[in-house]
Amino acid sequence: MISVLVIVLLICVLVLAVLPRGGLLESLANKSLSRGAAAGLTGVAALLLAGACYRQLFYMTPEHRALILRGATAADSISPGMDTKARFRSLAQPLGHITDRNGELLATYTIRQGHLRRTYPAGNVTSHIVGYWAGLLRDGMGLEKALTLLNDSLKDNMPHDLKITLDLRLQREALRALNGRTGAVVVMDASNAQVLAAANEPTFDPDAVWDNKAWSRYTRDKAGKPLISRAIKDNFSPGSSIKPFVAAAARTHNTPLPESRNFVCNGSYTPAAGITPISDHAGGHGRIDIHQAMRYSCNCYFSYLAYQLVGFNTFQAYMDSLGFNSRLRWNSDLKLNNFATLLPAQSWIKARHGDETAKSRAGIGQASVKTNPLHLATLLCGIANNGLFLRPCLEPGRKPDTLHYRGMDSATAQWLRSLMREPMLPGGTAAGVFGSLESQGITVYGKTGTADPEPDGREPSWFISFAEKKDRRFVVVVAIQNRKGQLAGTINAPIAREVYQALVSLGYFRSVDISAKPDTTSSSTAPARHNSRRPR
Amino acid sequence: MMKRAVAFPIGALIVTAMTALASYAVYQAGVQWFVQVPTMFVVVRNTILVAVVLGAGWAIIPRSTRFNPSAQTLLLVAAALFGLGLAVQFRLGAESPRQLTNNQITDLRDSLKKAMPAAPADTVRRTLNHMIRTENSRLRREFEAARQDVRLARSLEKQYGPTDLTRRIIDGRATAPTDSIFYRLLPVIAVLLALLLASRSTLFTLISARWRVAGFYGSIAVCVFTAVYMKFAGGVRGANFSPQEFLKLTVPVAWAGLLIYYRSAFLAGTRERFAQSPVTMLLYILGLLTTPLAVFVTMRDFGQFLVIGIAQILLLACFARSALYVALFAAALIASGVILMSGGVITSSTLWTVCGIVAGGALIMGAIEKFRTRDTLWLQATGILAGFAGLVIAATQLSPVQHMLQTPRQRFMLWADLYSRNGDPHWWDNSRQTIEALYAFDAGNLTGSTLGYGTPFLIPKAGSDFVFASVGEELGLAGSAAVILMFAALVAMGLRLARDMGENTFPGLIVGGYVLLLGSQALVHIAGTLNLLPMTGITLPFVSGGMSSLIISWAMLGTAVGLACRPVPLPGAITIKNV
Repeated sequence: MISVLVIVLLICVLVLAVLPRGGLLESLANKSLSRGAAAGLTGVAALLLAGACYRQLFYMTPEHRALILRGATAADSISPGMDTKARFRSLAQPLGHITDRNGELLATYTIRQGHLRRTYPAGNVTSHIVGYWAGLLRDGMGLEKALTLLNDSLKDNMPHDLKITLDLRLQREALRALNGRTGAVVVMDASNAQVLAAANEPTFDPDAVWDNKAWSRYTRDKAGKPLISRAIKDNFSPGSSIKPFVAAAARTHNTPLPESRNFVCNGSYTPAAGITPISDHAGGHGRIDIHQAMRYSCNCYFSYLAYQLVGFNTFQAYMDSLGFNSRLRWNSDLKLNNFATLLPAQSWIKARHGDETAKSRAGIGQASVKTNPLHLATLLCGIANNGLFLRPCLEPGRKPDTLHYRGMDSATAQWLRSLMREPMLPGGTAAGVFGSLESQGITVYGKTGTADPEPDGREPSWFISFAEKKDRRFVVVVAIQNRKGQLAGTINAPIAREVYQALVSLGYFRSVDISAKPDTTSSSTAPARHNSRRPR
Repeated sequence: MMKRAVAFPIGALIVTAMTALASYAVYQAGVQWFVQVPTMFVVVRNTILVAVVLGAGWAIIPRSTRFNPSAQTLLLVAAALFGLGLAVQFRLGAESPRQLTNNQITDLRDSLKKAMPAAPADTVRRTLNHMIRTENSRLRREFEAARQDVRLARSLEKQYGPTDLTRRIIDGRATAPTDSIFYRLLPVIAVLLALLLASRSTLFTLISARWRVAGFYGSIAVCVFTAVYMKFAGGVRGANFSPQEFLKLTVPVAWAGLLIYYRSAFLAGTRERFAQSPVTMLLYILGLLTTPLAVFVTMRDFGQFLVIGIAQILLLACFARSALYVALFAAALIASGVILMSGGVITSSTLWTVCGIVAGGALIMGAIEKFRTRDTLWLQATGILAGFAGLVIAATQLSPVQHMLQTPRQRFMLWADLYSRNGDPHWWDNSRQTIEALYAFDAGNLTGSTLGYGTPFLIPKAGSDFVFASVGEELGLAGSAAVILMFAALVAMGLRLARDMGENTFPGLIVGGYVLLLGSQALVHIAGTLNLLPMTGITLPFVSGGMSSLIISWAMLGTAVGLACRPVPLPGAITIKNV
């Protein structure tokens, strides 16, 4: 708009040079400019104008023309003279296609406005993982950036097609289940830690990144931050979903459980003098054991356990051994870990020295703990695998890589499984949600997490879970950034159920059909094999 | 039709508003990839600079001549171009620290010389060039990396609050040198000073009779100074400022002197001078012809050669009234172009071409003279052209000249066939600038990608050598056509100014020379960016960011307008009694 005004004003200046008394028009009329000079000047100006018209309106480089004539496939887009440096503007990039596990195109080439361009058929569904590469103008993101830079380092300069473990249909279903709520869903195959879906909301259109206006809209959206992947690059207060790990810490350190100390929940618990009491629902749960505490998600019980019995420092050390306060890295051949846009955010647990309020809330996942959805999914994979932790993986067919999380042995993991059944049982926080799945022979293990508002205004809620049918186990982690006063059992758990339904209808739970999926078969027996030489 | 007294204030308002709007558009775009963070301060500064040029210029011009329409138009159009240029410079950010500075290159060369004292100068130069190239590319890479680090750190701070690491990254970032307001004021001071001196000072009436001498010796002095300076600064690329620009102030004076001194020959088309002292005449013409060549040899600047050569032809075309000299100079320019572009290696085909041009030029000139005066100048014309061509051929045999010719020749080959690879492994490196500029024009389309939203910074030297491509991308055909038309208006009104000052008077010829130099510079720049001519690295007057060029352009314009607006006109033609 302003630019148009600028052009209009420039034209006004020209008009002022031509029209008024003594201007160009008059001097041409009364021949105060010699005829030869006027003719020469007009000729030169016309020549330049014609040149400008040609270059700006009708010009296309022979490179473009040749590319388009040859039919724009990635392999064709390479010409020996234009290597990496040619990746400016709209020149074609020698990148391969990216497909999901079923061969659906996630990134490819098309011709738009006469230029060969990288496009993303999956649109905003997989935008955070696949990312974008829009020349050097933008930073680039996700696999696209990784692939581009990786391609630069390769000598052969040929396009390498890439297949990733995402399932586009599942990702779509997960996004649909989120139904516009700001948050993330991570779905993992527990047997090999392959990420089947990592859906984020809000999301962005990677095709629109070229457009400066859309780009500035994305970067300026401070509330939604559509360019940040919530599944990978963000972390939230876990709320009650930390409680299984509190239990695991207690068991690992042979800590007596509260019931052995005659702990009675009366609805409010004051960890020490001068600390704001931790409140639970009015009236309290009375004298309960750890199974009941897990079922009702009793805050008093778990903060007493974590703060009084286990102790904050021990709990912190235990969580550190499960990968908190350190980087979770991909099991990757593509050097994904070198790219900040795909490297998962750190889950952390820490409190300032002497900040007893924060420390006392570690057991209920508030104030001193933040967790990353992908990391939690990895931990859940470990529990589902009876204590074998695997690195998350995006590339199918890779050998599973163990994570050296020394905190959990298989006995603890099996005990945790029994604890994580509790919320689904009658009276539990997610009771009755998964009835339709149970009837199909699928057992769901999980834990809800309803966090209080964080200082930055976010009020997350969680459902971390895995489901099992014979040897098929899948992890679903649902994180919602703002629960808006609702409980995790009423928003997150139904989303998880829909995702499980999608898994069922896509045939993931059918163990007979495993042989039809080559990339899952190769590693489906991996846990058993690795179990024997698991550390500790 | 609008009255003149109203036209200028309205025009000044429009130009100032245009500057403010253009700068504001850049500011508002708030572009993410800026080297410099756009500030409101620059918007205000740009507006003030343009307003000062117009307001103070208006105040300096003597009251009685203030309503000279051509002078007003010149000021307005130049100020509009200046304002647009300021906005474009602002948009591109300051020159980022992506290349070695002059001092660093000097240090590098000194240490090289110390390290290999026995090496021949040629080896040292080649090594130095190689080191500069690798070092510059390393700097560019580091700069990009640092920029990305800062961006990442900023986003981390936004998310998680400041930490030691992020603070260290952000505080320690490579900041682009912010130029002070005084630096940007220099061209404004130049134009106002030139206006003041040329329109009011009595100095000009005193020395007007000796201007010719001043012009000649001034040009020679500038040439010598430039040659010496370039020797020490390490070539055109290493120099901080370009002293060759001063030549544009002195050369038109010398031309005017020559044209006036030999007015009977140049203007009337008679043969009196030839008849009286043919040797002197021949020498003078040969001197005029060799000016651009001398400029090229001493300045190592092919662009200036083209600009001065074209301006010379145009000046003769406009004022000499004799097609003879136009044909002579055009033939000489083409012949020298052919010889120079053959890279100093004179093959038989080049020789035949040159002979053809010489013969053709002589033929045309002879025919013209035959037609005009029923007499022919076959012999003289052939002699002059052949002598000149011989001179050029002799010059190109010198090894330093041959060395100098490499770059222009490469540019010429690129221009001749931009997409021929010819087995050149550095094809993209060499043609990248031009191709990026063509993409920029292509991306611009009709109305451009609006100020601040395009990607002109991808063109190396987008702010100076390729500023027209930047305008073409962000303002589209509308903007670039406006710029072309503005230069056309500038030249037209300047020529009118010169003509109004008296038929072929001395000051009139000087004004004409200045305006035509500006015009030919714009022509070479615009045609170069559009790839209609080989790329020469010439700035666009008033728009480009090169400070020497800006100062000299404004000084030329100020002198031209000032000379035309003297309350008492300068004495006309020098009367030479003893002709």
